[in-house]
Amino acid sequence: MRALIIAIVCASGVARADTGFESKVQVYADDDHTTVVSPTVSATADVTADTNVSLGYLADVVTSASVDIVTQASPTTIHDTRHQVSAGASHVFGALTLRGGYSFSQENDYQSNTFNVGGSRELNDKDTTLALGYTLSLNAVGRAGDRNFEQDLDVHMVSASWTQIVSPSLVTQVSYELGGAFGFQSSPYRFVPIRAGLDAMPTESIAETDPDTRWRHALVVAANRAVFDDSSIQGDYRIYHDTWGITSHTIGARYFVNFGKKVELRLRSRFYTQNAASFYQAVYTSPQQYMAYDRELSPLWSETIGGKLMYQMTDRLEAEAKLDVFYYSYSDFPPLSSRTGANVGVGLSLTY
Amino acid sequence: MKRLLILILALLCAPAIAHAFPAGLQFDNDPMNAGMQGDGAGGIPFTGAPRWAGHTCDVCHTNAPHTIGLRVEADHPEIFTDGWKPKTTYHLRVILTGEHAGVAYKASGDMCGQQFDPYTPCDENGFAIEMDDPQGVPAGKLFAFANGACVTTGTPPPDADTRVMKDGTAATHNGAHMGQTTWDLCWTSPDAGTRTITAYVTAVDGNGGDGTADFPNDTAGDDVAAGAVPLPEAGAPPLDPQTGGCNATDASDASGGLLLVAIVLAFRSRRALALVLLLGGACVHVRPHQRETLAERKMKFSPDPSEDELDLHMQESREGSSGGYGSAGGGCGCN
Repeated sequence: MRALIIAIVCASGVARADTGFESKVQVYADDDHTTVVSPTVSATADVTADTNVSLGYLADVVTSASVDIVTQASPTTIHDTRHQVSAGASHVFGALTLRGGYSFSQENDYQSNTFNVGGSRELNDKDTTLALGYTLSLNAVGRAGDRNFEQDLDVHMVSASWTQIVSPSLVTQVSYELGGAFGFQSSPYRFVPIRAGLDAMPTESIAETDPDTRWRHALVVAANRAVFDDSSIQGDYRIYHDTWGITSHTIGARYFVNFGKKVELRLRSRFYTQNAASFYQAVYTSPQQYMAYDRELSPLWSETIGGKLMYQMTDRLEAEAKLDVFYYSYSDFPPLSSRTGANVGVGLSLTY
Repeated sequence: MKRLLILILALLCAPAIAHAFPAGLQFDNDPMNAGMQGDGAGGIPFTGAPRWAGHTCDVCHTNAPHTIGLRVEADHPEIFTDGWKPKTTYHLRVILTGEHAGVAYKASGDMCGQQFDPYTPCDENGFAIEMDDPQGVPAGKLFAFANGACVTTGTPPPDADTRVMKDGTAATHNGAHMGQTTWDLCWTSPDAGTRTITAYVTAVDGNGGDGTADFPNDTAGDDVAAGAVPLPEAGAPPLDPQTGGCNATDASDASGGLLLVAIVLAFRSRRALALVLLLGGACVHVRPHQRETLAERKMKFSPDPSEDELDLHMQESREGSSGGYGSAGGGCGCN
């Protein structure tokens, strides 16, 4: 008998190597006089074959003279920096993966502690993945220059998702998220003018008062399909509704294409539209229980288009550059009718 | 209709098989025949082949951790590279690697089971294999291997490693010996022109039942592995990769197309969306070797989490909605 020779290995155990370091800088700028520079660094490492840990740092360096600021009593340009540190860990128990994480965010007038736990389970010989998650965010809201102002905001989020491999070239996902926010949700800097009409002088300005409770529902369906030999096209749709009366629709599309083994291009488009919150009015002629002077609660639509180029410099080092351009249209927010801007970013990632 | 029949058979099989398959004969037995000692698979070997809708041992041995592996060896190693030659008999060996379930009973060897007092659980493992042509039809002929030779004529001895099923389309463990992790068999290749043959192979690492004589061969706690090994025909051009699952590439791709359409029409027919999703999840099984594309970054829903976090933070501070796409981090984003 000739020697039997190993031909192929169909090992069921999958190496889950995911060790690397990543650094990015993203710059946001819009024609509403707001600029945000966001450097990030993150590292992730497999400490055992089944356990992964991650650490991250993110900053938002904000310079703004937006309409939110200049419409208040003391027009000025504000400067603020948000720092966020985060840590996470995950462990694989066969077909079950459990994860947990924590992040701390601090800025001049806002502090946030966020905890998250979750798990995912592979079923049907890894064709199906079900995931559940829970996030708790405990926030302390302050107001610059006012030590006596301190409000709390607690946010709970529960999410569930079903990812299904439909064929060797098609993956689908359905996810649902329920969020509950309890506490102070207004802006501590915004005051609502009470006036007879759009062109009338305000008789008084009252601090913005949003409801203390907000329940959010978001359902997303998505599909990712490989096309040709080197491309994929992704599509997703989100329908959102909350107890403040906002219903929104989001349609996203992304196209990935590889040029050889080293270059990958991503093109994307995102369309968003929402109606106004039930208590939102462009003009308040008399004080109401709930009042908002917030463009995010007004009817709006937006479109974002952009591209991202990724270049594999070596086997382990990848560079990227991105540019997204966006446009927001506000149909019923008197101080601002539109906003145009861009997100520009560069990054490096090192993987082992 | 054929697919439906297979699924019905599989579903009927699942609750019926209270026992594993200590003897390969049970794969041929009627699933409901009360007169048999133990249940049967009704002629289905659960190799993971397209004709069985991709179903493997996982159908009955549920919740397996999938930590074991499979290896296929051949006495003519060029079969895996240069390809198989027509009308040639090959000696194949299926090897279960990383066995962990029931290893405590391995030392007992064949001295186990209900006929021994005190009762000792058995380290029962098993496998199944079939060789299919590009159309998913079994090709060539399988034989048992015994006493150092392929049993191409006559009846194999009762303690041969492998038993060929009655219809000759698949081979399984014979079940004569316990603690086995290797099984030898033979395969005579078909005529020239059949092109790429795929060996669909699956195995069970049995844990010895629940440890009592009352239920010696339950299907819980076992481990399962499955794989597919393409064997090109020597001198013939290779075929496009097969997709398996639901018996055809076209079938699975068609369900994908329907799914996309259903998402587009979600406003108009949510019931249709749910139905198509359920159908997609129920009948399609994508083999591990077919996941090369799925493993690429471009097929991830969130290929760059750190970028997503930055984008979501910006979007959620500019819009009235949030949720559904993952975490946007903390902080106000009030400007």
